[in-house]
Amino acid sequence: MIGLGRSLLLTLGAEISTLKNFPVHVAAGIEVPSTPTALWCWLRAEDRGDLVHQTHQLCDLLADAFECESVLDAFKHAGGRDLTGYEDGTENPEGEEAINVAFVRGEGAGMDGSSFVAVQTWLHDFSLFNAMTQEQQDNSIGRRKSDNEELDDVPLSAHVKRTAQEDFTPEAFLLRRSMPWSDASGEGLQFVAFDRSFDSFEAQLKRMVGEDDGISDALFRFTRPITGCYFWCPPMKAGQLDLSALGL
Amino acid sequence: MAAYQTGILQEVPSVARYLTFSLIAGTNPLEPCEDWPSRAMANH
Repeated sequence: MIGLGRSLLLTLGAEISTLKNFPVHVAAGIEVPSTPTALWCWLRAEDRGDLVHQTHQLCDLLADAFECESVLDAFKHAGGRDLTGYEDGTENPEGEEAINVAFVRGEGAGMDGSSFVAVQTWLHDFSLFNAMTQEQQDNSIGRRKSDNEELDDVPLSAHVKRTAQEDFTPEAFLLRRSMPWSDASGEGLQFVAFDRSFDSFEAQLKRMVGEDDGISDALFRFTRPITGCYFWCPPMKAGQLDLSALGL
Repeated sequence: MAAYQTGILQEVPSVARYLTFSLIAGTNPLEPCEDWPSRAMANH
């Protein structure tokens, strides 16, 4: 998959009004950074070696105008769980609902079928996480790790309380496609969320940092975002990216 | 519904790689290869 950043669009003399700058948030002990970049590619495979060869092909193809800025390898863990053992995206929409959540429609050719993606690299601190009791961990997430069941009586800081999609007005549904990552620098979760706009993501992020009620998400006790980017994922036409919305 | 990048709806794969690219100052991304976005898609 490919996402175009705002700096690239501006270089091309184009703009997509929904594609804005990723918001910076600062709260007590919390920093949510914005790290804009021109182009985002998500390579997928069943064989890690294929990713290596695809990366070389891609970098060679783009070399005249683009410089590879970052490479992050991710993997599926425990059937789709984060490295903490909890599942990200339990309430993900499916089927037609997922299509309604993730893709633009009703805005005309060139925009319809496109999507907007928020991408954040979260860096976990397992010395902090592993020092928590099982109950503290479950209360931080709001789910029981053993069976992923949502707990009834958890603190308002629990992640599921902060981000309950149906609790927002309007409802703030996202299509999440996050994956664990690990390299020499550490490990964590690559958060990836697709949406028709960034409204749902921004509503959830504001509540996570406590802008609504001063209560921040318990996730920040053991993990923090070290990147934050927005991209526009163009629609397809005849098997190719449709860039007509950019005048191309 | 218009055609979309189908990977968005697919479950996460076994392994994946995220790459970000910055623009090289002074270059026009359209000049080297006008259809690079679609070729990039075709290459993975």
